[in-house]
Amino acid sequence: MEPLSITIYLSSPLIFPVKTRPFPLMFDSLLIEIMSLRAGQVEYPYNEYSDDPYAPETNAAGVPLAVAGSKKKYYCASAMEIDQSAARWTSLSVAGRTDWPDEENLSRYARSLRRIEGSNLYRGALELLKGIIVPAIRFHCVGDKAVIVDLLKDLKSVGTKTSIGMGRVAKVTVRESEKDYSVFDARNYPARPIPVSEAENKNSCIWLRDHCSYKPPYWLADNKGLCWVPPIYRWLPIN
Amino acid sequence: MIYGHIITLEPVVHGSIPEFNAKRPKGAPLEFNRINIAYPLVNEKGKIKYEFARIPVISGNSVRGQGRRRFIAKTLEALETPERSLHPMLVHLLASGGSTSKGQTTPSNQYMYKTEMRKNMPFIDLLGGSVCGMFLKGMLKTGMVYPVVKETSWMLVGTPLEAMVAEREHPAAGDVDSRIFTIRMCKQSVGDELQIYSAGAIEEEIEEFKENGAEENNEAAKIKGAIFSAEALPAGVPLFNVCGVRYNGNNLLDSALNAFVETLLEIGTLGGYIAKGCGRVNAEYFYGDGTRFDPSKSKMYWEHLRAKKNEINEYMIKEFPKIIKASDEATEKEKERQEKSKQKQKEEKQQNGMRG
Repeated sequence: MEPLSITIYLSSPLIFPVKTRPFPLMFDSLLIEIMSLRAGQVEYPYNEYSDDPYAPETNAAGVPLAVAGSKKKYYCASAMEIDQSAARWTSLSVAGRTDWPDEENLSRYARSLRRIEGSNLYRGALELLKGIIVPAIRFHCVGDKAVIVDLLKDLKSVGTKTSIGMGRVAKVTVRESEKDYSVFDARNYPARPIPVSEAENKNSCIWLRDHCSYKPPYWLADNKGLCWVPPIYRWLPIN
Repeated sequence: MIYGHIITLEPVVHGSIPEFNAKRPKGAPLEFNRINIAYPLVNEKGKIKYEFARIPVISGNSVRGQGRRRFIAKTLEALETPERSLHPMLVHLLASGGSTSKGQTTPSNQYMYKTEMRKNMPFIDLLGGSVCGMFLKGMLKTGMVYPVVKETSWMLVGTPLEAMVAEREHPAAGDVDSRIFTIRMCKQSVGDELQIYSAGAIEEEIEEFKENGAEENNEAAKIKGAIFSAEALPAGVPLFNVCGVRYNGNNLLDSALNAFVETLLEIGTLGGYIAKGCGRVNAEYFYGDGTRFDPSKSKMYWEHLRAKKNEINEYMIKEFPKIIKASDEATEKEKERQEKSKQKQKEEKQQNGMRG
């Protein structure tokens, strides 16, 4: 295990989840998604949560990252970092159509059909997406370089709405780093969510606290707790 | 990954949605969809600097939607699914990705249901969707269709299209944008010679106009035509597109991807107004190693469907409605629970009020 710096170059905007508060991408969840896909596990087993092989407590699946923390354990993998001078906000709209069942004559397969515009098969959709245009995102971690490089070969896109071409990965570089910035950045601010019980602010800088997840999967409510969070300018354009 | 090199043969119309519900000015043409991207620029000192450009693109959502509808229609034909046999929510899920229903509770066994759906319907594994509050991540990635311009040419480095487009001098995004023109189309009223075939429908419509306050001699009441205009990308513009699946190693999924690209080639159009002489393109697809797209690689997917058609149809017709039933039951339970908790709160309030 060694400190690493990972840069992911993107060729299309990075989109945040719809109708939820934006949150930064986490390097450990990127690796775990690739690992679970390779293992043939596409869906998250909600009912068997206690046996999660990717949880940092047991790490039965062998996630190639160092684990930190005593009671509440977390991976030594940072949240994404952007270059403020090269990042901008963007927004996109995605629409669904209402006339598709007749176009391809698909409504004939439906057992019953209420031909009311705007409902059932004829329901249209409009989603407003918010995201950022950023040429590259950076991560820091402590991990096994060879395994991480192999896993990242399968990284094709990041963020949401990747199925329609968003967050497309153009190139990934993994470099060894002299210092470990996976948990705290160069200015001693948190580089990832850290449980409040696991770290104490002994510096003059002010750390922010928030109720958020500290281990993957980051969307799961069970993983949430009071955490020190990275400053917003680490992952969002503030200009 | 499969890389597509596309050249427009007809003007391509692909409208953009005004952002954040902003309304299009009256009479303004439908704007062509554009997107902001960052691109690297090497300055005089040899340092890379990133600039931003707004370029016209055909969204991946459009390509995926068109492909998905035709792909599912072909799939159901291959399965010989009986007509009027599927639950409307399943047809919605298959052909358009379904929807998230407000107030629909996810069944408690969602992991089992999702795994079963993926296993029994390989097309759902490829395309994904949402049903009964459950989200199934699609394995297919359909990229946006970008024009080959100076600002996007760096995306082709290391791909089989790099050599193909290297011979040409790329225009700047602004040059392509300036070539976008407005096409106007007219929707005419029914001519006099055809009115004789109508059973009084046109008179009825004019009556409706009169009832709504239109004057008797108003020409607008008689002519029901309309002029509409839209921005279009001209013919002869080179574009590129990348399709792929989330992970490699699943032969059936790879074959399904080939079947999807085959469907895209069959459609042969991009964007809208296809019936009005727009959108025809010439597309060539290549694999990552530079070899040309081979439609025979989709054979495994179609053979799998034919071999398992009875099982898949049985699952779609008999098993799938059980998921909806389970979700409905969960929704009712959730409603009961909410009502009980509301009543409890009311009672507590009343008791507190009496004490006060």
